[in-house]
Amino acid sequence: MKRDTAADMLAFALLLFGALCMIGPFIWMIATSLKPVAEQYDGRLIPITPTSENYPRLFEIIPMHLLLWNSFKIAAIATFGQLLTCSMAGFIFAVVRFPFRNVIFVILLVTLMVPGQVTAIPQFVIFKFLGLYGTQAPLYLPAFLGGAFGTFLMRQYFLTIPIELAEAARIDGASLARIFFTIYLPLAKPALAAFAIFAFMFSWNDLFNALIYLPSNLEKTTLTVGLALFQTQYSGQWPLMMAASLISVAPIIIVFFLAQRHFISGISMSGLK
Amino acid sequence: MADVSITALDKTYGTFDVLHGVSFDVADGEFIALVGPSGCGKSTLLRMIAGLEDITGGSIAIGGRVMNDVAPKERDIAMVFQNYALYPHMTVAQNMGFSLRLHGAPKAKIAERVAKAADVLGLIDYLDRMPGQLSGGQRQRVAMGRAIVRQPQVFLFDEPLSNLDAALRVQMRAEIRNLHDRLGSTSIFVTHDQIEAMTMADRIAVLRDGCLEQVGRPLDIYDYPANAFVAGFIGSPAMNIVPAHAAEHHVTFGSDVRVPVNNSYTGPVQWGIRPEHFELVPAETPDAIAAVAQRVESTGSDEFVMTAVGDVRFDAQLANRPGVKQGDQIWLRPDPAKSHLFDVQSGVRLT
Repeated sequence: MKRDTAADMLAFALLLFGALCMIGPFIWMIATSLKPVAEQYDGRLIPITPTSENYPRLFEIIPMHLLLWNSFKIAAIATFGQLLTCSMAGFIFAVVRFPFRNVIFVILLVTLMVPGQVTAIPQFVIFKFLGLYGTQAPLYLPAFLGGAFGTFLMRQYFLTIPIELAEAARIDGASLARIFFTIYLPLAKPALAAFAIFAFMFSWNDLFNALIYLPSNLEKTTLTVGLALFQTQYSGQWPLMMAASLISVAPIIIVFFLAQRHFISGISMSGLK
Repeated sequence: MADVSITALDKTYGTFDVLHGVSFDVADGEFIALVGPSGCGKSTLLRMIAGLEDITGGSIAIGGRVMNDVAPKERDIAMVFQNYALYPHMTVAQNMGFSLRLHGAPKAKIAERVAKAADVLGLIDYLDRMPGQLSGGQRQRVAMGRAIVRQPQVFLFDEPLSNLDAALRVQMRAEIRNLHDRLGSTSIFVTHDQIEAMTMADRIAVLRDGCLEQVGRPLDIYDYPANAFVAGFIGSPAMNIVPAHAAEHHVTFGSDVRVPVNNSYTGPVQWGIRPEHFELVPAETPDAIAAVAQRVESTGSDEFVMTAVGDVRFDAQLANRPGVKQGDQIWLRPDPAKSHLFDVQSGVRLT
């Protein structure tokens, strides 16, 4: 019994250490964002004269609200597109039997190994040809064409749903689309929630494509581009930059907390045995 | 309601043959059980009737209409799955009404049919529950209810009782059969449990390795098994089957043990006798076998005795608990009229 407690203590200490490593920089960021510029190099964690003036200043210097809205709009549309198309593809790979299903699935997985930079130029040419250069569309349209990661994730989840549910529904008279929308999709909430976080974060943090497709027009561009510009113009003003960083990660944290509930609730849903 | 006609049915997965030319008919309103050991193809056969598996060769007709290329939903069948396959995110009522909803039935009609089925199955108080909140037996009933609500021509059951505990299984056995009689429907019931098949079915189809071994009424199969496999599979405890030599209404086996049989066949045979067809007789009774009781199990009503005659093992089931003890020397007389002879090579019944 005692030995167990000692082992528990060790595990607990390790976890605590890991947690501190994770949250340390985050706390530092919050603390720095609350300092006046004069105190930024004083080596203390807690500001001597805490101030929230960095935040309103930020909104004066750059159009933060526009950048936030642009990023949010693009990420929300892209997330919706990914959830819809990847869950459809995952469903087909998990439930429908068709020739060369596994071969096609492997080919899809192989595309995970192709770096985004490789396809960036052809993709640029296509969007230029379509006349979408300079609009936000190239940042969310590709999300509606599915993706290997999301398809894989959703397929794996759909495989855990007993195939008999689909068979029972077929006998009950449901079409494939019906089975997907009324049986499989509602049951996949936990996986959708997890994938939504990934998709949202991916789009939210995307600097590369935003730099390519959107000119440095602060009315249209995303938060990542705005922050990058800001970084070059106001380098050395750490409290201001930390305030900007905090605002940029806040939505991700909010999305995570919103989706977290579904991770747990969905797992206990199983009408079998 | 409708009859089901299965003709020369083949099923192949790649190079692996699952069914070889299976043919039988199910009459309108009949309850037929498909039995066989694991992997004999009985579930595949049922799934082919349901339309969940493609047909490699042969044909399936329901109500006179060939169904080979007809989608499951147009076959007018309902299926109860082994794991019930209830939709976990729908209430009991929604589960039961799902097919009617898909067919665009008006809400009032759905509610009426669901209520009627729930009444028959004793589910009225559970209509608003989720499947996760029900016991195994209740889920089983919901699965049945989902099938009943559709009023299909044919009910298909894929081992529906195997996830229930023993007492509930016996109860549900009777309930399913009662329901069948009440609805007058045609039912095809897959099971690996020959007791279920014996007690529920009008007729039994025994499958082995994708071949149909015998089709017949339960007692006909029990009394006149077509071959040694069916003889060993149907009946519990299983029939004793012993290599022997037959001549002049006798069989001889082991170290010259002779017992009478009602059969004039001459030559090497497999002699079959069911455990319950032994009679415990006094020592040195003519035509009795002297055996040593190696193990005795009492079921309360009967005594089940495992014996050996030389190297040959026999199981005997003795009524009225005669009080045999382990190690006792006993005399068992087989009933000559209940003896079976099977061909040594093919296992086919010899008459």
